[in-house]
Amino acid sequence: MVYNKFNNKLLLDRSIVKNTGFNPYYCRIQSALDDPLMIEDKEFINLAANNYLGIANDKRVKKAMRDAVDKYGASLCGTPIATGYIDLYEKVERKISGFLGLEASIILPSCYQANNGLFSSIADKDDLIIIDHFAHSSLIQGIKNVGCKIKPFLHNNMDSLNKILKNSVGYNNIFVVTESVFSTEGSIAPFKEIVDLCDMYGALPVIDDSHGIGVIGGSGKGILEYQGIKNYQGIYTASLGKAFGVAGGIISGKVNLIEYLKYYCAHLVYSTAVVPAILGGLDRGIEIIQEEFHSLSKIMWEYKFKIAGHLQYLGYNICNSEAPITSIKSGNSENTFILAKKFYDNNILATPFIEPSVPPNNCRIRLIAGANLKEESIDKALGVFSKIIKNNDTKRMVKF
Amino acid sequence: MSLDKKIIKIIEENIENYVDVSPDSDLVEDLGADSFSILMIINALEEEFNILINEDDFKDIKTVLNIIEKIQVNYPQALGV
Repeated sequence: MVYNKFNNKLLLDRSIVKNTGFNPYYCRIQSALDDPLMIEDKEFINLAANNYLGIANDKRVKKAMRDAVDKYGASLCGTPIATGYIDLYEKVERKISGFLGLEASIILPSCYQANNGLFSSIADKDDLIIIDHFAHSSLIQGIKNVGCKIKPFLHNNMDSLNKILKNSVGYNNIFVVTESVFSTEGSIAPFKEIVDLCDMYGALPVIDDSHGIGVIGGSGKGILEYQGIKNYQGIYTASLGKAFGVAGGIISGKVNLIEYLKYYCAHLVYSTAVVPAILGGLDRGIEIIQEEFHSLSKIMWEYKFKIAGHLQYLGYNICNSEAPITSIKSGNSENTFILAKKFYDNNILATPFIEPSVPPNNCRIRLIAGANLKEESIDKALGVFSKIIKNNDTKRMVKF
Repeated sequence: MSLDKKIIKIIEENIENYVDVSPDSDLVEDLGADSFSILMIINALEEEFNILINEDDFKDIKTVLNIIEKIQVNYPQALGV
């Protein structure tokens, strides 16, 4: 009886899948991030991965990963604080800090863990966390765990943030949390203004630069470089599984913050250390980005402008994006699945976002073209976009 | 300004989309509100009326009118502001 009650709680709402005949999630990929990508023994154009610079399947990165395994083995079978912290771990942390121009960093198994672990380590009930309305789930879950007052502000709206900061008194610490590049539509936070407002009101800025690191800024150093923010005093987190092409997440900032987190961030202290293969891949991946960012990002941007321009020309309603992300406004969840299915049926893999990842009826289909894709694949994708909008149902779906 | 007009103004200021808000507006369907939008509205109501809102009171709200009624019934001190 108790078990039945529990099972009922686990029932999934499969109505959209049933109505559309399509489930875009957990598709079984049969290859590396090559061009083409293999799914169900068919060739696909991958416009879904966050492999911005196209280095996830780079032979130099893979060799560095193999070399690390040869030297250190598959795993150190321990947490970083115990037996999992190899010299390569420290080397990569220092390399990332140097790349960003920040004092120190720690590497965690994912940025989700970084964002979750951060707030429960540094904030408590007497604090206030102010957060952008559209911030990533990992940040939201992280701050909810603290149990303190949360005040969201309107997306990228500095009047809204200013008003909240002005009216927030009596808190121990105030944190202002945002993303750099918003992953569902590619808008970029006016982070320099946020840092200035934090300075004015004595708040601490926290930025998640997951879709900015290795993507924006003159040499790929992310939001701080992109917006000319010097001597950043706040907290910085990012994923290393997107433009960096490997996996893991970082928290970076002042030395005293990082030293504290090394002992008090439970998500780091009690997780098995990031494995040598990942550290080896990151070590080489950073070098490739430092050496080749200009040429790789040039291709990435060319593809982005080609895709966005063509979609706009065809009449798709796309989001204003300043990043190499192109998102189609697709209305409700069902429309979004139908449109994603049309792409899928034409061998294009895209990322559909439905609620709760986006607000209700503001669903998106996101397209990211990595620099590893062939130009002919991009042209083929443009042909598919032209083909499917000829259908009247599709036309109706993309006019939101 | 009457209480309902004040509340409607607060809601207009705390949703992302520029749409006309009326007492009949459905928070999700018409205004595109999500849980953070509701939290923004609650925070703004607390500030405007100098009250402390129990978020559980707002769990079953669907329309703007529901918010107006909740404030009128559960937080009568707002009427005097």
